[in-house]
Amino acid sequence: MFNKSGGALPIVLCLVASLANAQSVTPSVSNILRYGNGERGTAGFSQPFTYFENLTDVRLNVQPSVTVGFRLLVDDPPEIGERFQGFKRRFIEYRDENFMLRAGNFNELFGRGLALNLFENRGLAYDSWMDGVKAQYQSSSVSATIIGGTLDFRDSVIITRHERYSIRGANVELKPVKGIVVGTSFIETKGTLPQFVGSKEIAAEIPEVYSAVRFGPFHGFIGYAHKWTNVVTDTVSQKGYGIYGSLSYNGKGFGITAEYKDYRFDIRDPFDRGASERATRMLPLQNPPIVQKEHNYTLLTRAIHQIDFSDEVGLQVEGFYSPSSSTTLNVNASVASRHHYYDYNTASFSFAERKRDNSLLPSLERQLSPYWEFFAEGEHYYEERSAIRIGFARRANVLYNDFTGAQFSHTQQATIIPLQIQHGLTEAYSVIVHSEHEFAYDSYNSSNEHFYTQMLTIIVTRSPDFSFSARYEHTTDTADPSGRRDWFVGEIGYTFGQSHTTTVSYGRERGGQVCSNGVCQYQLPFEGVRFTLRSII
Amino acid sequence: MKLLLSLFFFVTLLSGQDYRTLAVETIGGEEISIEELTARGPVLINFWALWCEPCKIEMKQLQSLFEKYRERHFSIVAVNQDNQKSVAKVASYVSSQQFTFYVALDPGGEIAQQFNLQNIPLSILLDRNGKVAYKALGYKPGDEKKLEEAILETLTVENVQ
Repeated sequence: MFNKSGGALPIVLCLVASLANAQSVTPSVSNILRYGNGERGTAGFSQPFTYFENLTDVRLNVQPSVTVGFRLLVDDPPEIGERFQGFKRRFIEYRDENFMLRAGNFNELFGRGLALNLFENRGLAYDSWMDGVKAQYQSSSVSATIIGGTLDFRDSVIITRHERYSIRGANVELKPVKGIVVGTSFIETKGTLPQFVGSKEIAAEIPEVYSAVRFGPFHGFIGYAHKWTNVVTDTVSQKGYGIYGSLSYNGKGFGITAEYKDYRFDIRDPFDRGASERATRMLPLQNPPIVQKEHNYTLLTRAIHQIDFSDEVGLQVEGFYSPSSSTTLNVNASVASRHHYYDYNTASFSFAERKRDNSLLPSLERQLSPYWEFFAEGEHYYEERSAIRIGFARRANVLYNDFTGAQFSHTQQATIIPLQIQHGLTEAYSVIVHSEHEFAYDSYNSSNEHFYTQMLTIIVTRSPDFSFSARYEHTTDTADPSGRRDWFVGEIGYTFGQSHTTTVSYGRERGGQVCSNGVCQYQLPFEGVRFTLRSII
Repeated sequence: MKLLLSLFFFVTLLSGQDYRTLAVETIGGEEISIEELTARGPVLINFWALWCEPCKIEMKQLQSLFEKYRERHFSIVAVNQDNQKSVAKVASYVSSQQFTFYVALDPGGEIAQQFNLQNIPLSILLDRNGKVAYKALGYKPGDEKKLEEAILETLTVENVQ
């Protein structure tokens, strides 16, 4: 579409801009341009790689009631994902005080995502936005939403996974009294799922009920979703369900939240569990809470546990406490595991499921592939813009090998100690020194099971326009996928005007969440030069 | 290249957006209207998340600014961008920090979409006409000084009017 309309595009844009200025059309535009030129690879083999991405999101408000929007995307190629040039999204929306009607591309969240959570994470090339129609009614006591359309889902990790769904759904929330919400959803979907050979057609239905309560210092949420999947091609059906709950108690200077998950959308034996293309697993239009901490320290953002939404039970507790206005303490603990045991019969080459009586709770037994994590952090401001932050994290993950038992199971453990000192030199200048040290164990590292990783970052900023950072990382892990042991990146950032911020970096990046030039984002492994320009108008 | 040139030419022709139609529900269940807030004084809309360290550092400075200018009808609406992964913990964090300005949840990103939000933190200061008087993408220590200058400028203009 872009190539065909390339010549007419400037004319169209000028006409739209003229229209915007001539009438009461108020626009909003954001643009991200990303360019990288260098190398990337695995196992010590690198290949030259250049990426170019430009994403422009435009919203044109024609009076307060009607909005037209579109996304112009040039991924030629993107850093991750497939090439694309043209209008990636477009929509037209009518909205007044109580009613909204939208045709085109949209996202949506019902409850906490047990039945429906359509969203985009561009850094991970995950996009489950729909194309269709959404209508919504909202008043002080009731809200109702209906959706219909199609989802064209592409997995950036399993690149052969390209699934198409038609989706119809509805959600109703009632607020009978202040502080209480009762909601129900229903999703009906038909999908085409590629297999290693051919494809399978499925039909699925996901009813959901949930309730949220706010009473004084207490906030609570409980939700249940049931999933029925019929694999039309095989005339096989599968049932499953998921439960999520949270409870918070918050007071002056403190708050504590407990979360629980029991996801049984598609419990399978180890043979079927390993089939990445199986048609009965949790659908990409579902995305419930992970019940694990989302970290902002780089080494901790490199997850060692992959959540299995089809078969996982877990708990998390997190507390925040501020004994004074300058000091904050944060503590988090989480644990998760599978529900049941599987015993392998070598004579029949099959597994027998052995149900666990207390499968409503997670277990630390190795046979259930447990994951647990403990995190504690203290932050203290010793001056207005100067603070010290120190943390401690300990985590462990077991991926149990049901075929061979404990002998070839994958065990990973890590202790990570982050330390950050932020010091205001003057009103405009600040320096941040950031260190993260990891002591790790990986049973699959035959050459050195125990290793450490050290990361050191120095950031100098001059408000509001300039930043410089240098980041160095070293590991003794000889089995790192990149084949490398050292990474170094230098970066300069500049903000001009109020609308544009640019960053240039050069070096070797190992990957993870990085905060630089005042913005945090997930970086993929890469070696070379990178340029980013962010604009919001 | 033709596309990029067209886009840059396009965006330079455009002017700012009026956000007064925005209405949000706070963590405490209160419905607030940006139009009602701007009728009283300038409003800062700030986007943040628990996983964003610069956001949390900035929020401490925003609390100080709020305490300093709230008597002059300056308001802050901090729109949290944690999705369903961490949204349950936001109220606990806000309670521990004792923020006294408005905090709203936006786990589905509905509010963020109206601002074409791509990165956080993002701060947008609206004057009493609902026009953007100041905006900043990202946060570096000391940026609050520029924000405070913008707040004072909007308050000064209102006094003159």
